[in-house]
Amino acid sequence: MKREKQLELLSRWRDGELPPNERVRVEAARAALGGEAEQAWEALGEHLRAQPVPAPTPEAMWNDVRRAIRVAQAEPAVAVGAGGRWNWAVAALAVLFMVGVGFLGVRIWLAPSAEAAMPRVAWVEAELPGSSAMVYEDEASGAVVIWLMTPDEGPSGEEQL
Amino acid sequence: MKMWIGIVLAAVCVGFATPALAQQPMEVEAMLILASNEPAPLDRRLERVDYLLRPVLRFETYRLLGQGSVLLGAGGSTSLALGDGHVLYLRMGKKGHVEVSWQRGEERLLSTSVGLKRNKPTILGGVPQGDGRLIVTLMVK
Repeated sequence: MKREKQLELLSRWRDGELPPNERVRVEAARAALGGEAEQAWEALGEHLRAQPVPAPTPEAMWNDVRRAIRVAQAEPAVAVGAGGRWNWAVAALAVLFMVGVGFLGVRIWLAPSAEAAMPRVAWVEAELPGSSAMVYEDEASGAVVIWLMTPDEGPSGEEQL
Repeated sequence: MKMWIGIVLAAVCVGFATPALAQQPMEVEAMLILASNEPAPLDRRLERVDYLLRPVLRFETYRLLGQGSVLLGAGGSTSLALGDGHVLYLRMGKKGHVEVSWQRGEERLLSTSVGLKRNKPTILGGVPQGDGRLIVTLMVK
């Protein structure tokens, strides 16, 4: 156990991971041991490197692929989440806002065409006894004329229009 | 968050207010004119409408009897006295049309529902008076 601890300390010393006080302690112990622990560590390393690396099984390869996909898919979500959590109220308001803007656009778009489709004169009532009304729209000036035709007017009166 | 609510409410309000905006108050100017075939000098007060009347109505002379203007708001109604007992009753109707009733004293002469548009005058006429005919022009200022 003590040897394992020494090997671990030595490993961390070689990787430069030890704090300064520990590093000083390991270097002092190493000098006292005369390189015994370091030799043991290097022998263990050589032994491990000599071991054949087992070929990965199809299941292990498949698990690696799945893990890589999961990591790749999780990255954008992590990026969004980094700014703050997803707020459904804000999302709903944004959708409402877009609907409102769309509604307004449709209104503005349809308003002129609806107005243009309507006749200038919706109805006329000639209320002088015996009279009738005639509607005439002058294309040149855009003027609309609503003219009362009275019984005494006769053909000459009709010629006024 | 409050800003978003404000923006949404503003958008919805503007969306619903569009028809109301389309019916902004309009100033309507009316002229009561006597048209006849008796020769007479040009009435200078009619210079603005004379060129409109002559191509459409084939009278020799036009004489201004009275005029007035009135502001007509959305859903509103008003009346306009034009002289000689002639009164126009105006009421804002549906879909931008204005309901116009022309009366001489208690006598109703003509009623109509017409879309009043800027630069597109409306001419009501044909009411006999003496040897001529009475005309009312309606123009949106």
